[in-house]
This record gives sequence, structure tokens and C-alpha cells, in this order.
Amino acid sequence: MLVACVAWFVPYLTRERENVAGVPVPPPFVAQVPVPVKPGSEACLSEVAFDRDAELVELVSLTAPRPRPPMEIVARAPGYRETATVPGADEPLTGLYAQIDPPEQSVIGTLCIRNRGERRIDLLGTTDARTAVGRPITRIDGEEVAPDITVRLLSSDPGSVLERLGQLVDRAAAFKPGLFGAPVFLWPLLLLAAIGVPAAAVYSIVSSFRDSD
Amino acid sequence: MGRWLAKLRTVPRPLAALLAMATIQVVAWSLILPPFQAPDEESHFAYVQHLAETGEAPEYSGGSGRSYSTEEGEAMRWANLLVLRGVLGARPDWAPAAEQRWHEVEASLPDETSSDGDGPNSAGQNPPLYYALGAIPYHLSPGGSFFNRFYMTRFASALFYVAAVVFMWLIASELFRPVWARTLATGIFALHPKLAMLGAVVNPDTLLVLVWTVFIYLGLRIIRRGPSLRRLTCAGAASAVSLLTHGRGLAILPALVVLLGIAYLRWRPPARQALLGAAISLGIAAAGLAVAGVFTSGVSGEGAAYGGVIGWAESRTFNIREFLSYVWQFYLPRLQFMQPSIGVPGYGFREVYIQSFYGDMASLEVQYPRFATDLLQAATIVLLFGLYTVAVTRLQAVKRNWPILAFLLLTGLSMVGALHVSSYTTMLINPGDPVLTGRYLLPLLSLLAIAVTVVVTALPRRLGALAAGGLVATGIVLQLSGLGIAFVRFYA
Repeated sequence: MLVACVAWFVPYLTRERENVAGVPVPPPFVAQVPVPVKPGSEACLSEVAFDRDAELVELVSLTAPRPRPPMEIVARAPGYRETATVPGADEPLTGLYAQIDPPEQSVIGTLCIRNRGERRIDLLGTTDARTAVGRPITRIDGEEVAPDITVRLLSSDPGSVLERLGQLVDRAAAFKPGLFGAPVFLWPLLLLAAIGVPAAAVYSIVSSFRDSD
Repeated sequence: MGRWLAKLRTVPRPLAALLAMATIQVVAWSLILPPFQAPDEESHFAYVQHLAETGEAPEYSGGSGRSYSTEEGEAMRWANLLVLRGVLGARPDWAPAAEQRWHEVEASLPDETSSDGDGPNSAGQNPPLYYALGAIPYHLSPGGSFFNRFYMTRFASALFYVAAVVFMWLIASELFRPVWARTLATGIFALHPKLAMLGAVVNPDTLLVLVWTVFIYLGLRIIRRGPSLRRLTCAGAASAVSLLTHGRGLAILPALVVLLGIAYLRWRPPARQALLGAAISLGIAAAGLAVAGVFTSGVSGEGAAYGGVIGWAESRTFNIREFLSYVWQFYLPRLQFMQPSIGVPGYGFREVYIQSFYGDMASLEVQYPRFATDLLQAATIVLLFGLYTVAVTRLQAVKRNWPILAFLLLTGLSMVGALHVSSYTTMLINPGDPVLTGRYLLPLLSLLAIAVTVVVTALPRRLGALAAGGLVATGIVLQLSGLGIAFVRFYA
């Protein structure tokens, strides 16, 4: 157990990781689908949850290596509006990041992407039965389109699992009823699992040897 | 009350500790795994809900087009659970605003949105026993919110896992005298990470594990202590429960026949008593089969309740040579004269007996690193060599205990054989889907625990103690790492 702790658990729990603040539409499971956004057009995703740590909007461009046009990202919800720009560029980037200020309170709103350039951009989308069945609906210039644009919201503050344990427990408490949805219940449960499971197993085998003597 | 407390005090300390451990594990899995993130959990819960709300099972291939109720669909939509299944890049929605909106949506849903998931439901092929039992906590859940009902159903299902641990202890008590050997066997069973995960979710496989563990315990009692009418009745009842739980439970019938045959050869009861016992035992099992048949009648085709197994008799393309070649290549490298096996290339022993038997949790995406799978595979091969060595060096004991060994071996073969026949017949229709995964072997987990304990008890005492400690430590590491990987996968 000590070997596992030193060689596996500690590196796993202390490694710095990307801090995902929400995934309105995940990347496709089966096949990539381009969602073309023409110059001047606006693609919007409805019913996106913006949490208090949503600081980066991540989109994926499929038009590399062509130069990509600048884009304007607008996150809006009742009492919340944030605008960010992704400048156009020549380098063949696929991941596009727009920095926004997160809302003070978690809100449900709309995320819009406007093409401010003179060239079309193809964004990564999904139509497969596994990943295109989420809550947000994608509309381009008000017209619903079949593929949903893949979007992730990230926190700019990465950190290891151990450093962010409180945040992870809060997330695990969501959508759980009554006491089970209370972090004060989940914390002792996690401690019980981490300490109680090994302790009970070790006690059982040690006491069994004593009883066998 | 006093009597119960007195009885509780008679529970051996190692068992009490293992039960406490199993309970913590299964509760932790229940709360760490987001809803519907275990194999087909959305379909199994939809079955429970429809049965609880309407008294009827959902249809397998018919229905109004709703695989689950509107209420379940809305819950999945707002918690982002539908896109989460097996997709590593997805996360559940944890934003308080989404949860708040869900509460508003839930409050606005009319009552009938809980009962409109009439099918098609892929679980609709299953017999109704597990789902009928799930309907009890569904109705008893306090507050009545959707997620309340869901988690109550999960927790109730977890009781089957904890009960299976108790029966594993009883099996070990039949076979091993030292308390540490019983503890080791039960510990291996309880610490199995895939079983603990499966115990924590809504899935009839957990009841199947329990009923097979009970059946093996009863079989050992019958062989060791004699085929009393009561024991035979219980064995028949366990078989009936297996048949009423899942199509794969059908594999218990050959095991029951084997048990009766071995019990007869071992005890040679008078002909009348033997016939009466067999008639009662088989009669109860046949009644279970008939009831299951009534509930699943009209269900046929690929993956049907007994479709995989009974389909064998109907299938005109079943080719015994091809089947044997498939089974050979599942376990061993292809011989020169063999055609390539039917099905997915490279899908065999390692994928089923190691990778998805111990790992591949949640919707298969929570996996142990490759080195862990390699080590588990190596340990399994060492175990097989160990068993062979014990058998060769203790031939007299093997001969003396042949009824027990034959029962355990043939019970295992009954399930494994049925799985291969089912897989082969399914692959005749769809070669891309072997319909054979590690969790299907979990009803035989007690046999693995027995095998490991047999090898460890054959070692010199000091070495045996070390091996027992090492095995329990490995189980703890697998369990905690499984929980940890799942926690990080969903919430980091």
C-alpha cells in the first residue's frame, strides 16, 4: 500500500490539471463535424451554465492551417454580459480561447460567437447520438442547425486534485438530494473511504489471524 | 431487540469489519458516480420507474418511442448526464444555476411525466424481479423528488452487494477452517472494485451476483451435509430467482442439474426421497422459468432475455466448428489451420477476464492504467499455476473432495459456456458486438475467491500470511484507485 501511495496515488493527486468549469457541448465521440460560420454571422448556444469559475471559453477551429478570422465571444444571461475577442491570426491554431470575467453567481444564459472577419471559419461540432443530445441548442443567425458547436468553459486557475479537493467535493454534491447533496456529508464519506476502507480491511485480516491462533 | 443485539454480537469480528468496509465502499461509489453513468443504468432505472408508476414493464421494442420517462429525460438534460456516458471530455453539470432551474422544471412537470417511459427500452427484455424489488425503495423515498427516488433505488440495490458479501463468508466457512482463510476469501470478494461499483448502481447484475453466491453456498451445504428437502427447496428457489432476474440467469439450470446429480452420487438417498427432492427443486426452478417466460414472451431477437441462449436452438447458422474455433481463439492464439475467429479481432481473455472484469468502470471509460491490468493478468496466470500445483501435490485431497470440486467447476463452466454460446449467436447477427464483458463473470466471483484462498492456504503459514496481507492490500489499492479515478474523471 505504501508503494502504491508513493508511486501512484501521490503523483496522481498532486499533478497539475486543467480546471474544467463546465462542458456545455463535449467534443464528438464518433466523427468531427464542421460548423461553418460565415463572415458577419453569429452562432449562439442556448441554456449554457456559466459558473463562478468560468474564465475561459474554449472553441476548436477546423480551418487550420488557413488564417482564421477574428471572432467576438459574448456570454450573456440575466444580469450578466461579457464580451471577449479572439483575434484573427495566421498560425494554424486549433484551440481558440477567449477570456471572460465569470459571473458573480452561477447563471444560465447564451454563448454567442460572431465572425468579425472576412473569411469563413469552421468550428468543431458534433451530431453524434452520444454527444449532440445535451441541453444547448446551436443556432446560426437565429436558425437552428443540426451540429452543436463543441464548447468547454475553463478556469484559468489549474491546480492539482489535492489543491482543489474542496471544489471537487462541491461539484460532486450537485444534483444530490437532501443530506447527500451537502458537502458536510460528502467530506466525512470521502475520509471514511480513504481511511476507513483500508483500516477495516487491515483490521479484518489482522484480527482473523489472531482468532485463528 | 435484545435478542437481535445478542445475535449481532455473534457476528465474527473480521466479518463485521468487512461488512463495514463494504458498506462504506458501496455508499462512496453510489455518491461519486453521477446518475446513469453505469452500464445501461438509464434503461434499468426507467424500467424500475415505469413498473413502479404503472405496474407494467416497459416494452422492449414497442412503446410510444420514449425509452425513459419525460421526467428522467429532463433530469438528464439539466444535470448534463446524457452526453456524459462514456465520453471522457464531458462533465456533469454542477452549476447551482442549472440545479436551481432543474428544481423549477421538476416542480412544473405534470404527474404523468413520471410514467410515460413505456419503451422501447433495451432492459425491457429482462424478467421483472429486480425491477419489482427496486419499485419498493422508489415508492418509499422521502420527499418524492426524482433524484431522491433514484438514489433510494441505488442504495437499496447496494444491499444485494452487502448480502452477497455475507454469503461469501458462509461459503468460505463451509470450505476453510482457519478464520483468516475465511476472511481472505471474503475480503477478495468484497474488495473487488468492479463488484463494488456495480453494487452501487441500478443494475440487475448485482442481484444475479447475490443469487449465484447463495446458490453456490446452498450447493456446498447440500454436498457436504446431505440433500435435505429444505436445502433442495432453497436451491430450487435460488435458481428460480436467478431465472427471474436476468436472461443470463438461465445458466443456473445446468448447474442445478449438476448439483442434484453430484448430491445423488455423494449421498445415495433412497430412490423415492431422491426423486421427491429433485422434483421439488427442479419444479420450483421450472416455475421460475415459466414465470420469466410469461414476462418475456414476445421478446426475441438479438440480445433478448434468452435470445442469446435460446436463439442458439433457433439459429440455423450455428456452426459447431466455428463456435469451437471462436472459443479456442478467445483464450489461446490461433492455430495455423484455423480461420480467423468471428467477432472483434483481439477481443478475448485479457479484455473480458482481466480488463473489464476488474476495471472499465462507469460506462467503461474509468480504466486502470495499463501496468495495473498487466499485473492483474500476471497474477491470474500465477493463480492458475498455483491451482495446478496444489492439485498435483494434493491429489488425494482432490480425489477425496471431488464432489465439491466438480460442483464448483461445473457451475463455473455452466455460466462461462452459456456466455460463449450467447456471445457467438449474437455475433452471427452482429460481429461487431461480442455481448460479453467482465461484469458478466461476477456471479462466479466467489469461485475466484475460493481458488485464491486454496492456493494461499497451501503455502507455508508464514508465507501464506504474507500472501494474504498482500492480496488484501492489493484489493484496497484497486478499490481506492478506482474510486479516485472516477472522482477525478467526473469532477476535476
